[in-house]
Amino acid sequence: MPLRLDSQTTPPVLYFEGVVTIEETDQLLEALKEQPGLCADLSGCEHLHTAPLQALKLLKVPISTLPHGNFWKFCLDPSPTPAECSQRLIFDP
Amino acid sequence: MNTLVLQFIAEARDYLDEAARGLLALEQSAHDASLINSIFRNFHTIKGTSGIFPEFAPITRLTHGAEDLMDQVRNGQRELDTGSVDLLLGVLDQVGAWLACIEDHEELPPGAEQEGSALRERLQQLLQPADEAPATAETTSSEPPDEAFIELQDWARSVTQDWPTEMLTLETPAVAFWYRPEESCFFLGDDPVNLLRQLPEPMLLELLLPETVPPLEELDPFTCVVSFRGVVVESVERIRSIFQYIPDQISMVPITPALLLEKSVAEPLVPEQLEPLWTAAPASQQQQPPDEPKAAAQDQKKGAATSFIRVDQRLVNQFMDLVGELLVARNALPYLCQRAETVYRVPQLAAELDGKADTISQIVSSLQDVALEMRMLPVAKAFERFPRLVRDISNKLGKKVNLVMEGEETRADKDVIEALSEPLIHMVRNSLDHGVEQPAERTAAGKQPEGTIHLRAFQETGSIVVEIVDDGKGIDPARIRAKAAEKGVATPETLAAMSDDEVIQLIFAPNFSTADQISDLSGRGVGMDAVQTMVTTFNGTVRVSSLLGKGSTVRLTLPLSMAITRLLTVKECGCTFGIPANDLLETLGDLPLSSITTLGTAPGLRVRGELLPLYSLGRQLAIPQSHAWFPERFSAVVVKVRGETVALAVDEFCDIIDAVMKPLAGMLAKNSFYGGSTILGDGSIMLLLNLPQVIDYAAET
Repeated sequence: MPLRLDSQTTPPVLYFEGVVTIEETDQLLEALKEQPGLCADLSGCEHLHTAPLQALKLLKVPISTLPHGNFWKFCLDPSPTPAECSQRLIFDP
Repeated sequence: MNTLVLQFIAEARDYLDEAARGLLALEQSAHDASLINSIFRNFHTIKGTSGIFPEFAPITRLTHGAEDLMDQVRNGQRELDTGSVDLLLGVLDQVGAWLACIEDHEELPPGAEQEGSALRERLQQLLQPADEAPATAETTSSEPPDEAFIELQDWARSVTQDWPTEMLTLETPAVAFWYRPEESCFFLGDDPVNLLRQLPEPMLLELLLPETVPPLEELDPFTCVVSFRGVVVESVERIRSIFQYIPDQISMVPITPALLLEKSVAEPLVPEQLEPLWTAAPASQQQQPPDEPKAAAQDQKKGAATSFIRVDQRLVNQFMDLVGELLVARNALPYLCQRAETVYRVPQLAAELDGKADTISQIVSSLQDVALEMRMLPVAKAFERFPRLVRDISNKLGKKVNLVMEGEETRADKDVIEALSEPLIHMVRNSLDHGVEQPAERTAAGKQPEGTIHLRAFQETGSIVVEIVDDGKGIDPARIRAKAAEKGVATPETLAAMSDDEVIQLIFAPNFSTADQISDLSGRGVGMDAVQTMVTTFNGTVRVSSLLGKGSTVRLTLPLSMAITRLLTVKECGCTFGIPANDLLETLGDLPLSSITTLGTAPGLRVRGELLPLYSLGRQLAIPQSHAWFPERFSAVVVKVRGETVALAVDEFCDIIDAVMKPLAGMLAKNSFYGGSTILGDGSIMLLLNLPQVIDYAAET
C-alpha cells in the first residue's frame, strides 16, 4: 500500500511510499479524519498525484520529510513570497 | 506484479479495444466528431497513464505520436485515409503486444525502443505536411492578452528582477508559465503534476491555492482547485507540445530583455517587442468552454465508478468453485432426509430436514444464478476482433466484404465466449478466403460486387448459437465427395448413400483437411476439424449448410455455461452415469423387449413412427456385467448426438441434477467416453458420458 499510517508515534506519521495515485486520496482523507494531527513523511514517495497533493496543501498537513528533488520542494514547501521567490531561483538549470 | 502496473495493463487494453473499434467505425463515417474525439482521448489516456512508469517510455512516446495525428484529424487539418488507419491500428497492435510482454515479463521487450521509433517515424511522416499549413493560422491571432497573461507577465517581471544579465541572453530563453488545470481534469485521466514533471526541472515553481478552503468534511478532493506557476528553461514550442491538448489551460511568457525593459503594463511595449510575447502564448488567450464529449466522458466515468468494480478473475473463479461445492453439498440433503426416514426411522426429523433442505436449495439456486451471472460476458467480446479481421483480410485478398454483426449483446459464460473466439476466427477466415468471391466473379454471377458476412448470435434453450452466414459461392458437394473419396475419409459406397447435406459435414472430419488443401479446395479448408474438436470438447455442436452459388451457413452451438451442468442420471449395470440434459430429447420407461426392431443385425427402436438406432449403454462402455442383448424390460433415453437422434438403453433413469463437473485426471482423462466427474449426494462418484464418443464407438463396432 502506498499509504501507511503509524499511529504509535507522536504525532502519528502517514508514510507515502512509491507511486501515490488518485486512488489513495480517500485513504488520505480517512487518515486525516482519524488522526487530525498527523504529519506526512514523503521520503519514500516517487510520484504524488495532484489530487492527494492538493489535499495535503489545502488541509495544511505538516510534512516532516519531502520526496527527493527540487520539484517536490517547490510543490510542497510553504509558498514563498515574491521576494523569496526571487531568492530561491536556481540559476543552474 | 505491482498492482498499479496490472491496473494500467487492464485499463490500457480497454482503451486499445475502444480505439480500434472507433478507427474501424471511422472508416465508415469519416467525419464523426464524437468518434474522433473518443479515439483521440483513448491515445491521450494511454499516454498519460503510461507516463507514470518511466520504464514504459516507448509506450508513452508512441501513443503521443498517434495522439498528434488524431489531434490533426480532430482539428480538421487532415482526413483519415486507409493508410493512416492502418498505421494507427498498427500502433494499437504494437502497444497491445507490449502490454502482453509486460504482463508476462514485467518489462518491455528488448527491441521496444526501435520498434516504437520506427512507427513514430511513419507517424511523423504523415504529420509533417499538415503541420506547415496551420502554423500561420495560429500565429495570426491578434487577440489582446487576457488578465491571466498580464498577471503572469507582472509576476515574471517581479521574480526575475534580480536576474544576472547572462540569464537573459541564453540561447533558449527561460519561460514563465502559469498552468491552471481544469476543475474536472482528474476525471479526464489528467494528472497535472505528472504533466509538469515532463518539463525540465523548473527554476521556480509555485503551487497556488484558492483563497478559501473548505473544511475537511466538505472538501471535494476530486475537483482540481490548484494551479502552478513557475519558470523553466525550455523552448516555448516544447512546452506548448507538452500542453498541446490543453492549450487553454497554460499561459506562457518568455523572459527576454524586452520583458524586463518595461516596468509596468501601464506603459505598453512597442509592437515589435510585444509580438514575441503574444506569439509565445497565443492559445492561452481564448478561454474555451469545456467541450461536450469531455463533459460526457466525465459523467460516464463518475457513473462507471459507482456501478462497476474490477475483481480479480481468480476470486470470481474461486467463488464459482465454492458455489459448486455448495451445490454438491446440497445434493446430499435429499439423500440424508431419505436416510433419516428409512434407515434411522425418525420421520419427524426427516420432515423438518426436508423443509430446511428446501430453503437451502432455494438460496443455493439463487446463489448459483448470481455466480453464473458474474461470469457472463456479452458475445460482443468474441466478435470485437472481427471488423478488423474482415477489413484486413478482405483488403489483402482484394475482395469487398461487408460484415454485419447481430446479437452482440447475447450473453454466455466467460469460458464459452473465450472458447468461441478461436473457432469463429477459423470460420470467418474460411468464409473470406473460400466463400466470398472476387468482385469480378460476383458481378459475373449476377451478385453485388460486395459480399456480406453475417455474424449472428442468439440464445436457444440453454445454449448460445452463433451463425456465420456468407453469400459466397457455397460448398460444392460433388467436390467434397471427390475429395473425401481421395482422402479415404469414407468409402465410395458410404459416400454414395449420403445426402448432400451429410456430405458437406465431412469438412469437419479429422482427415479431411490438411494444410496443402487450402488452395485447391473450393469449399472450406484449413482447421475445420480443429473447430469440430474444440466445439465437442465444450459439449457443443457445429453444422454447416450450403446452397451452391448462394452461400454457406455455419452454425455453432455451445452451452451457455460450462461451470454448472444439468444432467440426467441413469443407472446401468449398477453404475451411475450422467447424460447432459442439453443432449436429451426424451425418456422412455419400462419398454418390453418386443418394442425392438432389428435392421439386419442392428437393433432399432420405433418412437412415434420413427425408427431410431438403439444402443445398449453397458455394451458400449464394455461393462463386463452388461446384457448380451437387451433385458425383458428396459428403459431408453432418446438423445441427439451430432445432429442425429438415437436411443440408448439403460437399466433405469433417476434424477435430473445440477452438477459441477470436474475434469478427469490420470488414466481416466485419456478415456474419451467420459467428459468429467462429480460427487453425488450419497458420496458416490458419477461419470459424465461424452455421448458423441460413446455412439461413435457403437458406429465403428
